[in-house]
Amino acid sequence: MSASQRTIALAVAGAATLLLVGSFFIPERDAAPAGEDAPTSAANAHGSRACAACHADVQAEWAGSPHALAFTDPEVRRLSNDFANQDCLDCHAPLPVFETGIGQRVLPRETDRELGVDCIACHGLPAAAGGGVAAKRDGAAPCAPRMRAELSAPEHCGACHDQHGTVGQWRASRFGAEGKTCIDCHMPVDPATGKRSHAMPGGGALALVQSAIALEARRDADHWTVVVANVGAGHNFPTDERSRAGDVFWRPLATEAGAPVAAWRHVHRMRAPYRHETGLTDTTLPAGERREFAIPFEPGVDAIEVALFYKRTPYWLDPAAPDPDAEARLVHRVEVRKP
Amino acid sequence: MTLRACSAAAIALALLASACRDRTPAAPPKPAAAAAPAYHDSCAARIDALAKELGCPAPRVPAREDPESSVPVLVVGGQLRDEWVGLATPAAPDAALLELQDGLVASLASVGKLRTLALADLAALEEPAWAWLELRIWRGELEPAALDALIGALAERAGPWRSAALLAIAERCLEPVVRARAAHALAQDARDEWIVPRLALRLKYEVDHETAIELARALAARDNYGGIAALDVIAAAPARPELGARALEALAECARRAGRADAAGLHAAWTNGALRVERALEPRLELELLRRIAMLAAWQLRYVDDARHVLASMDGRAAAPLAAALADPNRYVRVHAAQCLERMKGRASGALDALLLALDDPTVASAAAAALGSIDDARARAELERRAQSASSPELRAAARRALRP
Repeated sequence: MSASQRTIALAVAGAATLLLVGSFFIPERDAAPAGEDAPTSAANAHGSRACAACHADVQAEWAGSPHALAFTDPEVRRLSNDFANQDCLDCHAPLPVFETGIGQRVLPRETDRELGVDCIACHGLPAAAGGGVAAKRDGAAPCAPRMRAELSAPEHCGACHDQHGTVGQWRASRFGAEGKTCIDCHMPVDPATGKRSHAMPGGGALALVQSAIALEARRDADHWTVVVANVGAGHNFPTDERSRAGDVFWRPLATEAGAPVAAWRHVHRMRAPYRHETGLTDTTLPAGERREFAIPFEPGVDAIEVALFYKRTPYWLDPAAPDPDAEARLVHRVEVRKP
Repeated sequence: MTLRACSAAAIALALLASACRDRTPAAPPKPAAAAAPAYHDSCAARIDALAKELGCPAPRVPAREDPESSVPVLVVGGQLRDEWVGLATPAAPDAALLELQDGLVASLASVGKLRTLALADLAALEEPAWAWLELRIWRGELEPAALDALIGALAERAGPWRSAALLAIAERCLEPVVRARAAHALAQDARDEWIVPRLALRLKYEVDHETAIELARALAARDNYGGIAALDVIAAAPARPELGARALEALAECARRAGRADAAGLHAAWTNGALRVERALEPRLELELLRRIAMLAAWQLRYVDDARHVLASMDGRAAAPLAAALADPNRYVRVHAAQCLERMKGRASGALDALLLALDDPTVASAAAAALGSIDDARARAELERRAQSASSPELRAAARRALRP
């Protein structure tokens, strides 16, 4: 092989390598596709699996998040009848938010559904724009992300989460007025790394729920008073319709060792009804609001305990005799006694 | 030499790129451009025209910002925008008219001469009064006892408001027994086919088994067998043992009506589109369908879900407006229309050509592939196999592969 042939061969090989490597990161088309088969998004063409090569730490955080489990979580599979109810797909395996547009709702995707709300769902750009977005521009990175302020805007999250009015609730709260947004609570900055968490804690994170809702009980002149207050959530508590509920219970306190424990008695439920539940009203607790409930004194009861439970599936196995200890998660428990 | 090397590299690059990209074999001849239903140049324009023809307000899609857009549609007593349910809001009510209605409805609950007189007065009510009565039922302003009495009166009456009033009771009354009676009355004849979409929606949310059975029967009376799945569920796990037997009886009745030997045969025929309804869509039914197609563009998925459910529950005549919606200017309408066709399975065969064309629209191609997979058709399968192998879009390849699975 002559030198010139070697040069050509090297040039072709180099160009081919560049093409193959480059095509991994570069959108296949520059404009809105026209004609047969065009991919709707460059990000779709490559999926989220490639992101871990450079972002293993973020990937690891995300892997345990509700977003990662959006399609595979057993409870989700059960409630959606293994996604035979296709209506659930829109938000549980969405196309990139930027593809359908900020302020628009998402549409379902076909590929990598098992990844749920994956990297490209939030970071992917449509083919016309190309590549992805991040909190800051990084032209040196293989994916060369652009900086787009909308990435951290509540409207970005709202593509799915405002389906239940969460962004609207936030906007009406003091959090909205103060400019404290979704990511301040749900993507807190890790002081060690300075990066925002992709674990995205929500209703499944007990500490976060405990910081959102407060429970107090006191003895008044002729009754016990229970107070529940939304002190930390920038939206209603709970904010999801249908599948979330907060319940306040009380029972006489077993003050002597070995005394039988009384059954919980229901005080109040915080929940938005689903469509078929005729006659129910929305009792979710808006941000910053509090509610008080009076529990009459009963003979022989000198002390009570009050508890707030959080349920991610709203129905009790036996509605006539709910068992919150077994079916819900204890958020707060307080005791109060007669002097 | 360097220049020549670069030129050669560029050509090689182009060839390589071409080899990498152009993996789609020559497409078979495309179907002739499907003649889009003439009326669907603009869904909105047709809705307006139909609304004008029928004398009812043109329904609108709830805006995201609308504070009432989060109001559950079926919560009894909720403040509803009347146009959401397609009801015409009559002119301002006359206090005397409302008083007369209250008196009439109360008298209907009595016996003897008073009831006979009330029935005569009810028969003499003019259209505006019926419109208000329907609206008041919908708004939950009448007590279950009054509604129950009204059902008895309506059963003895034939007229344009009969089905509307009965349907409103079946949709809105808090008392299951009364809802069941209203649905039972609607199952006694095949009048007013326009109520089918609303019956299908009510059945989706109905939790009372007795009412659900009657709703399924009312649908079947109008050649719609979308309720047989609910009958299966009730037959398998009835709220009361006698309701299981009634569900089985209703299934057998539906099979006989459809000319099928048994429930299994009915299921197959309904799913594969063998039960064709040849009559044309009546204008009010067409309006009901177009209203729901327009609703596919709503922000709130709850409205979209309901619209998808209703449209997918329709007989094969819904395929034409849905096929036209595949070319709607709104992406959500296009995608969700394809999803409705997918759920219609064989009943969507009338949309085959439009779905094949939609494979070339990247924004709807995946949903169109899924819909084609649900229609048992050789042309659809061949096209899906081609796209599964060679489409450049991973989304479309995945959708075609999934659609080809048995």
